[in-house]
Amino acid sequence: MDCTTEGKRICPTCNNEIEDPDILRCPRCNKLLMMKCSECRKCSFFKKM
Amino acid sequence: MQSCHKLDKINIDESKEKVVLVGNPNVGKSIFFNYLTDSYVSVSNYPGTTLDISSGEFKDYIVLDTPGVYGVSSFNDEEKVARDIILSADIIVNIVDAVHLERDLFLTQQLIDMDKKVIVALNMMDEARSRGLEIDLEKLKEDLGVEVIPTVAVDNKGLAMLSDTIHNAKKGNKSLSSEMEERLEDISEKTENNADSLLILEGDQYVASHFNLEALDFREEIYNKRRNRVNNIVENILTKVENNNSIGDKIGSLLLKPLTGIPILLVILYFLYQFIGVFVAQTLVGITEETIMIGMYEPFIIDLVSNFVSTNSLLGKILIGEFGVLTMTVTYIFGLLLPLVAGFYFFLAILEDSGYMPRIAALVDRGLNYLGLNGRAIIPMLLGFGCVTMATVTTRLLGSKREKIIAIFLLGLAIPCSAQLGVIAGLIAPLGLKYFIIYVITIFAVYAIAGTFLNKVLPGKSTDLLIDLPPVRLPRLKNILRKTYLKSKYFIFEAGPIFAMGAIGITLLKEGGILYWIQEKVAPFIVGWLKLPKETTEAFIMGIIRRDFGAAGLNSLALTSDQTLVSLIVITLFVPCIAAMLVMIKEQGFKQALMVWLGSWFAAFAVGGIVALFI
Repeated sequence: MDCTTEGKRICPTCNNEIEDPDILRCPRCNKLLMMKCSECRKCSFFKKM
Repeated sequence: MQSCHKLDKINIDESKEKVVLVGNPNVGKSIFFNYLTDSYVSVSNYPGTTLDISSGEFKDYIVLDTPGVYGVSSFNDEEKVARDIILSADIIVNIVDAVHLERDLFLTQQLIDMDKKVIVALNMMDEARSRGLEIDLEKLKEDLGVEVIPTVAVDNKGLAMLSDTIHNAKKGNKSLSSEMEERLEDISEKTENNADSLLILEGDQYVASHFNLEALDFREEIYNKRRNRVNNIVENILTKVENNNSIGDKIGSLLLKPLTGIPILLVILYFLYQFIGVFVAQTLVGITEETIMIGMYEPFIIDLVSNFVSTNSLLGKILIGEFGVLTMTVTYIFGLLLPLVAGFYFFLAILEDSGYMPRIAALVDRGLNYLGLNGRAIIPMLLGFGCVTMATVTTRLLGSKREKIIAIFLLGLAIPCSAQLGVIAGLIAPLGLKYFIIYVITIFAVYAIAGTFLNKVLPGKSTDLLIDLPPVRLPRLKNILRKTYLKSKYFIFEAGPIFAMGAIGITLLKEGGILYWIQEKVAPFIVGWLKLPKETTEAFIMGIIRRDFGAAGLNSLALTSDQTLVSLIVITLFVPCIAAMLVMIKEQGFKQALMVWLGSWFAAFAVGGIVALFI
C-alpha cells in the first residue's frame, strides 16, 4: 500500500519519531512499527508534522 | 561552556569523577548499582520530575543510576533525566542485555558517538547461552572499541571483574559519517563538548536551547546509519546455534503449526469460556452481584438515601430507582463488570506474558484475511469476549483505518461480551445441543458474512501481518496481577461515568413515558416478524443500554425453546451498549458509529426473523 501520509510515525515502544514511511523497524529500539496506511493522520500512532 | 545538566540541583559531590550506569529498561541496572555502592546510597528527587535518582560511592567515584532508556534524547521525562546525567558522566557503565543485542547496542553506539568513556557489561549471558546464542566477545570489543565484560548479575558473576576494570573505560569507534563529524566539529566550537553537540545534531531542542542554538534535523539520518552499524556488528559477532530441544522452543513450534496449534487454541478457548463464562460470570458474579451488591449494598444505600430524598421523586428515582446511579450503576460496575473484566484481563495477561498471543495472531492470520483483517485483529476480537468497549479501544493496534472499521463493526455486531455470554450460556444450556448448534452456526455465519461483505465493499485490502514472536516462557504472577489491576482500573474509570449517564438517561425516558411509547410502537413487529411475545420488547429496549442487561431480561419471560433461541440470537447481534458506542464515536467518529448501530439493528432483527421462519 502506498502511504500518502504527511505525518510522522511514532514508535509505540520507545516514542522515536520516524518520517521515512518505508522503514519497517524503529531504528532506535528495533521494534516492528505499525503498518503504513493511507489515512494515518487519524491514527493515534501518528503525529501530524 | 559547561555541559547541559542539572546535577548541581541534587546532592552530588561535583569534585569526584562520576560513574553513570546506563541501559535499556529491565537489563538489571539496579543489581549493578547495589553491588557497586553497597549500602551507601542516597536518593534525590530530580528537579521538575517525579523521578528519584539513586547515587552512592564506589572507591573514589560517585555512582549514579539512570532510568532505563532506549536511546539518549528527550521523548519523555525518563529520557530527559537520563540524558542530563549521561551528559555529566565521566565514565559510563553500559549494561547490555545479551539476549537483545540488536536493541541494546543502539544505545551503546550512541554513547560511543557522544565521545563518552564507556565500558560495557554484557549481562544475562546465561540466558543467551540457554537460547543457543553464541557471542564472539573479542570481536565485539574490537568492533565497539571499548572493554566488554560478560556478566550474570543475578548470580553475582562478572561483577567483581567489572568493578576492577571500570577505570579501563575508554572512547570507542564511532558510527558517524565524515559529513556529520564535520558538522559536529562546527557545533562543538560553541558547546565545547561533542556529547551535547551530537544531541543538538540529532534534533534535541532542550540541549540546543541551553546553548542558545537551534536544534538540527539529522536525527533520522544519524539513527539509520547507527542502526546499520549495529546490525552489522550483531551479524559479525552473533551465532545462533539451533537449539530446538528446549521445552519452550518445542511448545512454541507446536503452537504455530496449524495441525497442532488449532486444537491447542480450541482447548485454550474452552478454558477461557470455563473460566470467564462459567466460573467468573456465574459463580463469582453470583456472589459479588447477587449476594453482596443486591443483597447487602442496595438495601443499605436505599435505606440511607431515602432518609433524605423521597423514593417517588425524580431525584429519588435517578439515585436509587430501578436504573439508579447509586443502585444499578454501582451494582453493575462493581458487582458484575469488575469481576468479569478483572477475570478476563487476568487470563489475557497470562496469554500475553507467556508469548502465546502473537502465535495466535500468526495462526489465524490466513482466516482473518478473508474478512479483510490480519492476524493482529485476533487481539481485539478475543478482548471483545471480555468487554466490547475495551476491545474497541484496542483496535488502535490495527494497521489501517479500513481494518479498524471492519474490526469495530464485527465487534459491535457479533461478539458477545463476557457478561452477555454468561447470561446466554445459562439460558441456552437447558434447551439441548440442537439449539446450541443452531445458535453458534448462526452467529458465526453472520460474523463471516459481515466480514466478507465489508472486505469486498471497502476499498483496499488487509495489511500484511508483521509481528515479533517472543520466546514461550512461564509468566510471572506479579506482572500478571499488575497488568490485571492497571487494566481493570482503567476500565472502571473509563466506563463508570458513561454508565452513570446512561442510567440517568433511561430513568428520564421511563419517567417521561417514552420507554412505554416505544414498546407499544414496536410490539407488532416483535410479535409478527420475530414471533415473540410483546413483553420481549422491554428486554430489547434494556439491551440498548447493555446487551447483557437485555439478555437477563429474557430470563424472566415465559418463552418456548424456539422463542428463546430467536430472542438470544437477536440480543447477541443487537446494538452495542452505550459505553461501547461512546468509545466508537471517539475512535471512528459519529457517522461510522451510527452506521454500526443501525447495521446492528438491521442484522439482529433480519437474522432473528429468518431463523424464526425456519425453525
